[in-house]
Amino acid sequence: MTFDEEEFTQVFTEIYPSLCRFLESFLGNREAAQDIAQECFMRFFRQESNVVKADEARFWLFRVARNLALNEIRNSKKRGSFLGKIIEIFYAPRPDQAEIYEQDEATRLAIEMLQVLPEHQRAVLLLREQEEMSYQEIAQVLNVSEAKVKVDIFRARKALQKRVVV
Amino acid sequence: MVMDCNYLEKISLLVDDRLSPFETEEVKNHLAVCAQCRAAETNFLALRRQIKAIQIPRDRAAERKVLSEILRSGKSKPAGTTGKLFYLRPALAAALLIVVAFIGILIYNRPPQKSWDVARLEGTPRIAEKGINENGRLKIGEWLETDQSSRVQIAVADIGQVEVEPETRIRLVETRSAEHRLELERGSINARINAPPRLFFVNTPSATVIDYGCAYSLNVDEEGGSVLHVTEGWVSLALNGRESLVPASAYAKSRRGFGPGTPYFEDASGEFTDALTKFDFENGGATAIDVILAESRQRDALSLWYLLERATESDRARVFDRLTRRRGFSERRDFRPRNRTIFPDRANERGAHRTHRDANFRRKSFNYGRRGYERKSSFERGDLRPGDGRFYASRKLEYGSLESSSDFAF
Repeated sequence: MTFDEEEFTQVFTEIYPSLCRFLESFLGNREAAQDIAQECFMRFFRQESNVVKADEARFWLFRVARNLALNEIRNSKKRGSFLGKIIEIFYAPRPDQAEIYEQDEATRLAIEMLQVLPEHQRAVLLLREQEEMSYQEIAQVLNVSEAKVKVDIFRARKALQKRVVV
Repeated sequence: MVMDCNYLEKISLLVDDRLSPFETEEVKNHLAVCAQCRAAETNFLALRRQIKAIQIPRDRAAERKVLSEILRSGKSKPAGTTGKLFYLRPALAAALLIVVAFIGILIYNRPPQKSWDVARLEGTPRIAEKGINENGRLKIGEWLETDQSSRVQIAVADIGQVEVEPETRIRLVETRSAEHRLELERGSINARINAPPRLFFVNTPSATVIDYGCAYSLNVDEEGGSVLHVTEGWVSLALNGRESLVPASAYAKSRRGFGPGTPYFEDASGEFTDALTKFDFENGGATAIDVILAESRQRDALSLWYLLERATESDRARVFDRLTRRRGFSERRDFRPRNRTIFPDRANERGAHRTHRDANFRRKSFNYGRRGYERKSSFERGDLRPGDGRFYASRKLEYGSLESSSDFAF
């Protein structure tokens, strides 16, 4: 299926906010989340919209987003080893980032809590609770078995049990 | 530590409505009796609420901007069949191939390294006035110096080694495929070279030492005079057209202003070598020649041979006579040929003890040596070729078969 601009705009409007939310929850970094979300749609529009079916667009976008986010985490770890330390020394934390989270304490706490999970558990839990995807859909997005999705969701919940604000 | 209830995982599935009606009933019955699972259900549901509560403020203007940027960037054409690069691919591939081939040729033909490995053997040797640790590199133009307690070994490109003794100052002058050259200003070195002739040179203040595939030691004193002692093969000591070809077990000296002296075997008598020194470097003239001729043995024909060139005309006749046994030798038996020859055509004249077998052995060795430099001395390899008068003469002198001036083919 080929998406024309109107159809693409519709997909963008529907999915872009939730993709940004997923990525920000996953990464804990708004700027990187928005960059990656934009990159996902850019790729989708330029190349994949010719081959991806309409009902698979959402899964495709989340799959690419998760992969790019993992790349970002790896790269930021590398940067953290030398450049990041230098930046930490010479630059104060960006105030706008702090202000953003101050606006919604609950959001900040939830995102911080999610960061303790391994990446694969975090992605699975977010897709389940935030995007309300079924186990089958999550398995499709992450290209893993349903059994693994089931186990990862349980482990993620169990790991966060004591951190949850009841 | 509290053990987890076996139903915990099913609580997770219950929260997600992933259980069959029968299982749902079973788990609910369990919940009534298990506080741990009840707590888990509460926590799982609370976690869900907490994650759902994550609110990212939307910036619709920014979203529109992103959308318009994406739409403006346009769709790319299907990969592989269109686009400028598609048509350029063969050209790019060819260009890449050429570049790779060019780089390969450059690497293959790269000049030899312009420096040699230096390994410290003892003490604290210095290269370019800096001390080296276990290993160092000697670059072209750099001086290597050893003090009274230090020694090093230099790898001469890939053709041999030079051991540098204490109190030595030496410099790398040149290293390329056709020439490797050191300059020994003072001190001592021991060289072992495994290469075709005339590849390795050592400049000294009074002569140049030219390798013919050999092992030798070389000492240069404070005045610039040198003493060459060949232990294997042949080495040439040369300066300004004057040359002394020195075989194994022989010495040759050189002095500033005189150049190479006359070679002599290491077992020559002290009087003989002193007289040679006087003749070569102290204008000993006829007096020195007298001593040389009186002290000479059959084996010292090596030295006499050089005197033919270097003596005055009147002395040359005496040297020649001595060499050809016309007079002056009382120990005639000393000049009897040994039981071998390289001249089979004269075997009959020499008597039954000379055999063709020996001659053939010599010839085979000669030819064999030409095939592999690493196995033979330079003479055996044939680096001194027939046609070079010294080749025949030196061999005849050694075997006592020199008989007349016609054997000299200058």
